[in-house]
Amino acid sequence: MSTRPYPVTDLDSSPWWEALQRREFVLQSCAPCRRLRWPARAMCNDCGSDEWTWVSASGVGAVASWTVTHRPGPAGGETFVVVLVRLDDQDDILVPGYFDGPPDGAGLTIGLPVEVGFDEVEAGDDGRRLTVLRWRRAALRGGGPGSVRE
Amino acid sequence: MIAVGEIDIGNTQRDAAAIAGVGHTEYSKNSGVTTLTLAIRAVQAALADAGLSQHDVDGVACHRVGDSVDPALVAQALGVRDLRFVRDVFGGGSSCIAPLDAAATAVATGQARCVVVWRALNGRSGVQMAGAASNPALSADAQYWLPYLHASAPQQFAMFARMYMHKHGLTAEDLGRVAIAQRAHAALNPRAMMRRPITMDDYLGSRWIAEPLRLLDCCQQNDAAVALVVTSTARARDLRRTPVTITATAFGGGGQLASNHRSDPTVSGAHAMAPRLYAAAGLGPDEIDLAELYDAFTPLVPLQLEAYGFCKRGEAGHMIREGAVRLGGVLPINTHGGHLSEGYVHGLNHVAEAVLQLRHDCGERQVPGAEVALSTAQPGVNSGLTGAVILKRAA
Ligand SMILES: [Zn+2]
Repeated sequence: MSTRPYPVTDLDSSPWWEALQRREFVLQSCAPCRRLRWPARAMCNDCGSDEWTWVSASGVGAVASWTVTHRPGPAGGETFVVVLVRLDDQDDILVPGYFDGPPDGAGLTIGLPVEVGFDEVEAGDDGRRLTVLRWRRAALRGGGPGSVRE
Repeated sequence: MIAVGEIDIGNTQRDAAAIAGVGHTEYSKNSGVTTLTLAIRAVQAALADAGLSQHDVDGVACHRVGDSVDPALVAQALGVRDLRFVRDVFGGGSSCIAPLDAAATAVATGQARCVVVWRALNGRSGVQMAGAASNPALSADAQYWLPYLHASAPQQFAMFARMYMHKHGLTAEDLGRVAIAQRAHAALNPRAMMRRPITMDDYLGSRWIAEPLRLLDCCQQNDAAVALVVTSTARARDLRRTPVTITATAFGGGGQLASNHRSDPTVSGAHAMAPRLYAAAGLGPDEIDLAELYDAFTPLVPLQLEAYGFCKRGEAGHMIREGAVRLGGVLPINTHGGHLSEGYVHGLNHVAEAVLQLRHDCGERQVPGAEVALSTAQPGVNSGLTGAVILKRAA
């Protein structure tokens, strides 16, 4: 088993992590151009504006990829799965996280609709509590994978 | 395919600088010496190859990731009295062409006359790259992967590999053919760490590291150094070896796997860069005789065959199945065995092999009549940067 490091956040990203500790999944929204942004940055890489607000993400997306790592994770076991999820909100935002499923990745497919979930884990040598993302298979919803949510 | 001539890139330095010598240390699991000693040994070997001595050196350039000697110490150890050029590039495989490019510019502009370029690492006994991505100092975005214990190079490239394989119907056997072909090349290379030929059963039976990547999809981790001597082409003609000119370099990239920068992470920085490289070189992919493609992991080979225009997007699997990339094929790749089988010196051993091929010094693995070669950096898939060089045997 390996110790899970506590993330080294920065001045751009710390509000995102703080929101996650409240079980809120947020993105930046550029004020002039409305483009969504993640990971957190001080300026828009499209229009260049530094005016933005945090907005709640829809929390739905589709599996873009996943890996099955063949060594014990923090919880033990022989393997663990990490998924990369493409958000329905904007198709160039890909967010990693755990997947609520078997540790060998059985049942995962590219394009599988998922929705956001949260997981409380221990991180760092002092075992601090940390909330991380745990994506789960989406309940049936209209529009299908890839549909854009406002 | 890439159309040449549509991009207007002036290149006043085309073929102005040359690689006059190459040097390697032994590849080992434990060098037992410092990265300073490794660097000096490789540099001395490269100077001897060129017919020069350390007294001729007036410039130094290297790349490193907090894992290797300060180039100022190398200059001091070489006894350079008046150091005229230094370039200390931060970066691993993504940045391996940058020091060479800097050296070429330095000699072409007259800043220096003889620049030694190296990469030295105790990558097995010291700082292992497989774990270096876990270092938050190396990337602010590591924070989004580390809590899932998903920051190692095999994991990050596995995430890319599944997307890429899915998009183009690339199979495990296609990746296996890359590993098998490169091992066959390494069998003809006395320097290679892994020389025993492998079969598809060996490949498919090798243990999973991070699915979809197996052990035999992954490069070696070793201690080694490689060095090059860069001087003006005019001067190189008077030296011991057939000069290999630096025809063109190019750089690109900027995307990360998880960032709002591009919706398709399977399109790498190299895809956008390659047309600029060919325009700067004044030639196209059909004129490349061999390609040393950065291969930390097997999927980077088909990706680059497409990015550099050797086939259309999605057709690399077919090209590999046809045997095109083996010695004797239309485009032999990684003729030394690559990072998968020769060893891992972060792209610089690829440049060294390209030079030896263009000098026709490769013995059993020689590509007959090789005149033009491509050598590449990591194509900018996960970490954002890339680069490449086109080299020519001097006429
Ligand atoms: Zn904007």
